[in-house]
Amino acid sequence: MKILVCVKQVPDTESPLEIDGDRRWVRDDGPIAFRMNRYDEFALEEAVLIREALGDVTVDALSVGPGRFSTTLKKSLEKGAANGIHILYETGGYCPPSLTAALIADYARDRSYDLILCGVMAEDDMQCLVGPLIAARLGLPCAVSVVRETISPDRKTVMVECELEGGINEKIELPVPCLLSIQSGINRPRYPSLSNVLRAKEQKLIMIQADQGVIPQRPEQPVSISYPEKSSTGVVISGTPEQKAEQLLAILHEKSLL
Amino acid sequence: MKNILVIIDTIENRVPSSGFELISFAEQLAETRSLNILVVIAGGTIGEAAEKAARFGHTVIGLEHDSLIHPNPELLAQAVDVLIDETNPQYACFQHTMRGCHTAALLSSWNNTSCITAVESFNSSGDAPVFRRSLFNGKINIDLTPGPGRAVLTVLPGAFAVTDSGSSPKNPGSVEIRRIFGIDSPGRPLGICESPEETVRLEESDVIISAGRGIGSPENLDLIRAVARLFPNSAIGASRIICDQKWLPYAHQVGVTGKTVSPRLYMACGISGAQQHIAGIKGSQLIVAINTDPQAAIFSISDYIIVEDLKKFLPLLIQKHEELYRSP
Repeated sequence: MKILVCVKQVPDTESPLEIDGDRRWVRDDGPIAFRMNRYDEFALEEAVLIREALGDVTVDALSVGPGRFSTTLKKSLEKGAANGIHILYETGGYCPPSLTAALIADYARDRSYDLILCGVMAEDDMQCLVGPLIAARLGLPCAVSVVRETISPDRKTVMVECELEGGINEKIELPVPCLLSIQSGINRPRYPSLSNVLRAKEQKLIMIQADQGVIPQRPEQPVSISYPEKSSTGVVISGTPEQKAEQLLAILHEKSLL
Repeated sequence: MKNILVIIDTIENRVPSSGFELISFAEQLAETRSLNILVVIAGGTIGEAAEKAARFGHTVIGLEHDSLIHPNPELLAQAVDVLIDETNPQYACFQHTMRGCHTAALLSSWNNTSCITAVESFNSSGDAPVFRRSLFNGKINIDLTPGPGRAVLTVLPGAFAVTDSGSSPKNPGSVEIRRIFGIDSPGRPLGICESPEETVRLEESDVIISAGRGIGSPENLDLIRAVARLFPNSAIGASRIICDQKWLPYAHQVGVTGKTVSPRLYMACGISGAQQHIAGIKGSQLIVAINTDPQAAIFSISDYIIVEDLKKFLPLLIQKHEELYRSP
């Protein structure tokens, strides 16, 4: 069995984010930290769990992005992927999901993957599109927001539970090959093992230049980015921590909540 | 006049709360671009929901298929694709749910058109409308303009309020129900299940004290519990990450994928404010947020903002309450 896991590098949302000079994206040269998209960590862990359960399974990790994305692919090797594939694409900011999906689909098309796993969304642009877009391009069945997955003993189908809203899940059986977008909470992503860390150090990534020919020609265009407007009604409670606690209690008391 | 297609899907023939919000979005967009609204509503047996949708005064097309009783993005996308050929719309809009995005992705890929998801607002003053959505958990906004031709959009739940069709009675739009045949999805739906977790009465509580990533470790949930005990009829809520880490069961999760709540007081402790969380608490009467990050998105919808570390602030709050309000 062959599994492809799509991983993305994102800025740590806890880092201070600063809009760049021409308002196209956030500055990536400041005190900003980059890491693997958390949803992709769940997808990668799920693939590694499948390999551990079934044995003869190859897990490939793939990423589309600029040079710095290589560190995230190395991290994928540390977490258990057998190969890291980097499709080099230098974006100067917003990268349309249709572009990422086109490059991934083009790579995966003739490589007979049984499963393609993606995170349900990227934490930076939060579009929830790359997974289903890859599936559409490859004509693969697809389930989104998967919170549980079981492969049948004959490996011809996979039973998934998908999260809808309001605490409701839907069960679906999909034929293999198919694509699953993985929701957070499906597993507990592991820390890299020492042996994998050592292997990742030595192992070379497979580097591929993005094929301009497969890139969609008419995607959406970014106009500008901005900080959200602060709510005009929000009152900032200031002072020492003690004063803030007293003020908050007075407000809650006045509103008969306490 | 160009059309705008509004596609509302249902779960067991019920319209999700965000369904009719799409009509409000389409009305606002149609007004600025002079578009004609067509409402498409899909389900197993959809007559009743279609009549309800028609009260907004627009033409309604009901799509019925036994397999649409549960979400079925592949089947829905194929049926909507037929309607796109027929009506040549400028926009096709879906609710921003995971399956809404799935359907939107399929249509945009088949038609080679741009797709913008989780639209929160738009600006229609220029030649082409510009759609605004969030990046980085709501810390930054991006304005996107679709490529030439048709665009597929998903609209964030909670971003556009449903207009009260009762207050300004309109002539209901016409309703046409179409049974769709012969298209089958590759997946076999096996039914809906509700997570059988402990009962947490979030919806019925007057006060919800909610914990987010900022609590740092599960031990600090005791602080949240202690604050909740200060209030009568209170409950403990949580952001998604707390439930993902199994610090609390999913029954505590507040947000679009968890519970939508409207308490008298919602106190967000160490919650950054992901869109789906914010959409789930908008109906609260009073929102107090405590976070160390002054940029946290939760502050943009809070009535009272406290920039502090919870682990220091909550014990102080409990202590001050003891001193000031619990005199012997």
